[in-house]
Amino acid sequence: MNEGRLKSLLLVIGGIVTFLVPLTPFFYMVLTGLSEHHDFLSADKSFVFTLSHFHAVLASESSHFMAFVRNTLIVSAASAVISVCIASMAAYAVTRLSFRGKMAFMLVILALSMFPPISLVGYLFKLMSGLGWINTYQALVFPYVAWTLPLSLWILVSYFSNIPRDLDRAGLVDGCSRLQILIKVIFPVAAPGIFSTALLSFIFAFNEFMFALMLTTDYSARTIPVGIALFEGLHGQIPWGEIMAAATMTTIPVVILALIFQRRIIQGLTRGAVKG
Amino acid sequence: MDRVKRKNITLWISRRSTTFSESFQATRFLAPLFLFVALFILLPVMGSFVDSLFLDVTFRQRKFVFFENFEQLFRDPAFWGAFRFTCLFALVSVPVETFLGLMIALVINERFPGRDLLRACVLIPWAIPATVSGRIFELIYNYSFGAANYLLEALLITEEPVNWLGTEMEAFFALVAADAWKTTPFCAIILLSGLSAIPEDLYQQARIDRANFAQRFFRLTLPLLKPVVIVVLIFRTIEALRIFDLVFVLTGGGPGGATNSLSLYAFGYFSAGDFGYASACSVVLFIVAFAFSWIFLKVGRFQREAI
Amino acid sequence: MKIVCRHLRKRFLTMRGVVEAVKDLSLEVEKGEFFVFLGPSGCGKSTLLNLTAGLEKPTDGEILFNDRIVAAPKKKIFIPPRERNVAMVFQSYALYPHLNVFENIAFPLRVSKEKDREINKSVQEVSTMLGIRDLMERKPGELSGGQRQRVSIARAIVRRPDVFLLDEPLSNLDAQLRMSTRGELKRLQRELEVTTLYVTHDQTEAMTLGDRVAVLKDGFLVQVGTPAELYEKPKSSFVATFIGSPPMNLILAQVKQEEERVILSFDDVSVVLPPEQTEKIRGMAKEDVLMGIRPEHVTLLEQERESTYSGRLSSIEPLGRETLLRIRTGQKEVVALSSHKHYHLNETVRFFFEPGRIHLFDY
Repeated sequence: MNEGRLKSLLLVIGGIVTFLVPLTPFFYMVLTGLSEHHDFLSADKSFVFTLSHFHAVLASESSHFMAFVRNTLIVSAASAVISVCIASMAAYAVTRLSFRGKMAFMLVILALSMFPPISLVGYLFKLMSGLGWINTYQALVFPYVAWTLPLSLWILVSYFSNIPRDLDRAGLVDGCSRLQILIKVIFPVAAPGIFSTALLSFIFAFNEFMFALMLTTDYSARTIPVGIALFEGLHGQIPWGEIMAAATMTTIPVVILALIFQRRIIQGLTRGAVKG
Repeated sequence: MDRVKRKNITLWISRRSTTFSESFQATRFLAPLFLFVALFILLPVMGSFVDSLFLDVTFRQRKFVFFENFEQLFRDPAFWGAFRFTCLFALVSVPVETFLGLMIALVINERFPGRDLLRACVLIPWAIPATVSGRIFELIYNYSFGAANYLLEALLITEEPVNWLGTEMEAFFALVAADAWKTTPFCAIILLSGLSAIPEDLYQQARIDRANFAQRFFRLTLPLLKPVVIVVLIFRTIEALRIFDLVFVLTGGGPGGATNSLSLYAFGYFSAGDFGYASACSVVLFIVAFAFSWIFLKVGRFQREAI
Repeated sequence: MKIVCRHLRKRFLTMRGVVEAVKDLSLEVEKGEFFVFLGPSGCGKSTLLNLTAGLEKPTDGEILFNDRIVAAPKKKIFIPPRERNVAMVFQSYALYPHLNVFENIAFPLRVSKEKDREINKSVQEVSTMLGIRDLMERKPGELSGGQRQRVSIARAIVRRPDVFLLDEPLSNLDAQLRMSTRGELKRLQRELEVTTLYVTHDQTEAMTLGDRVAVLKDGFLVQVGTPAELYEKPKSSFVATFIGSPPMNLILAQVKQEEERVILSFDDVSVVLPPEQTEKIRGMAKEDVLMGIRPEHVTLLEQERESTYSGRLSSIEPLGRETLLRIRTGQKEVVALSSHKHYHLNETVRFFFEPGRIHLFDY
């Protein structure tokens, strides 16, 4: 078999595997959510289509599903927006203003992102308890913002450095203050990059588990990852159908986001990691 | 108006404008980030270090005990089990994920119809929460009706269903597989960016120089990818050492604490209110992670000079 | 707006160490003057422009606008760009890519919070002046280089600034466009009567546009004067060779004093210098001098005469109206411009230098 054919064969096999492996568990989740019996793969059971699990999750009082969704959306969106704003200001300073210890600053920030979350939870819990913030949105938003800032900073620095300095100078001469230049010139021009960064921060906050588990105690502030992890059911038996239905509903939005903005997401991740 | 007065007024008007140093301006722009990071990352970490030196349990008097927490920690076989598991997990999962990521990246790097769709599909496992993927795999690995045993029996690979989550070895590999499913996409994307940065002309040149497929891969692609591979290895290792979400949901540390990770071990004590002891454990994990970050910086700098 | 710089110094900290871009520079620009900074790259001219705009702070010295100090580090005074009422046209034009032409021009007015109606009027006026009325809706990415440049100029003049700063605005245009725009710039400046500082490395631009030209080299001000002064009375060999195209010939020669006369000689041919020039010689200490003569003042002769040189034509470049000739004589090469056209390579020719046109510089 010649080289070209071998390569094509490998590609096809690779392509099929790459397509199937990520999707199969995902489809299994969706199917289980739609199946009457969660053990439909067993010998004696078969797949029976039903929407009862979805209905149960949405309608039931005790599942507090909508609360989880609401909490997660609010916390994630707030974290993403705040994180991007703060990181933009810092990225502006790093790429446009001169100050001593710039490289050291960037490296320190990078090092901070390497800390394991478990090192933070304990004291964060005490801190939040002290502030009376346990089980509130703030308890999550503040740590999430802090946690996403390093990556956001690195990504935005990479985007901002591609914007020519002459634009800044034109703005200064035209009468803007530095902050005005950031808002009126840099933001619009770097909009795609800023969006990517916000998206990545949103996805991170959406999926975060440990802080959410520790710093919240019930459905009034708990997020989807915690809800799904602790979904136990009332009578001992694990309600797989309902769990998977809930999982489907909560992950579909993120998946859609990922599909639509995959190019942006990949760009952002790449710039953040490769530059680091 | 006489000359002196006029001159003074001119000077006064000039002095009205304040001077500003660029460094000062920079400080204002950097302050919010600095504040957030200092308060919600630096402070808690330092707090945990301090706490580790105290007997700190809820409803009990806080007492300075110096290294007693650590002594207790090192005497606990459960701790060492968690330590061993965590390191083993990192040791196995990282190379596997990097390798698979490379394969995927190689596939996606080629131009073919539907490539964008494939790339998006690959992103899906990364985009969903770890606990959700944990529960999906919990279902997949279910002894009686999970998809894993179903497939294995259907493909005639095994006769008996495998007790994935109930046996030590199987649980370990179940975790590695689940983690690979979730995080290989990340490795693939980073490696893909490294791959696509290699200019096409180099391959053309290699073809002209009569290098075959394998030669082009091993002598051209791999060496040029080395810096990116190292970045991926370091990032993934640090992440793997912290493993928490997946273990919490999939095995809960079981069976019998066989898959307890350091983060989970510490978390258990945090939940129980034993902040001092748990902080000590987190300090250990921190030091291990920090050691790796340091290696990263050193190797990274070395790599940069080598290039 | 009159601009005065006194003992201006600017030091930069770069990765290669300390770089002094501007060294002890003092000059005065009159109100309404078209003042050109000319020099090779790295001579500090752009830095000077940035200092005037307030985009950089001087390390030492003072800058005054109409007797008002705008920058003086020793007195801790610094007025930022937006309070100086200057406008700048950049080499890259620096148009805001996300705004259309109208908004780009209107930008400075919007920043100073002028009323919409006023903004509209001003922008229309200015765009008519520059012939870009029909481009209002387009974005910079959709414009040609020349159009972008006009928008950039429009944005600069819409505010009626006190000072107009231009940093090599023509260098990104093709040759033909450059010439026509040059003329328009000059006309525009006359019409607006704004003090203009213009930076370029192209001496033709400097000579045609400037009321006065300042030649800079390595951060130093080498000579300031009208184009004619610089051309006819260069004070240093650098200025002499930088200005004028093709550049002035510089030849090493010996000076001898014989009673009242001063004799300049090289290659065994001696020239008696006219009285105006003997004064200059007396000021010079050395025996060796650099003799400068512009190619157009090298005259070719048919027959031998006193004080003529001879050489071999090593190259002939027809320039249309004139011919550029390179003549090899002994070790040296002399460039001459002649309006005759019938020459042959390697032909021996005779030439002499118009005595009144000989320049002398320290060696």
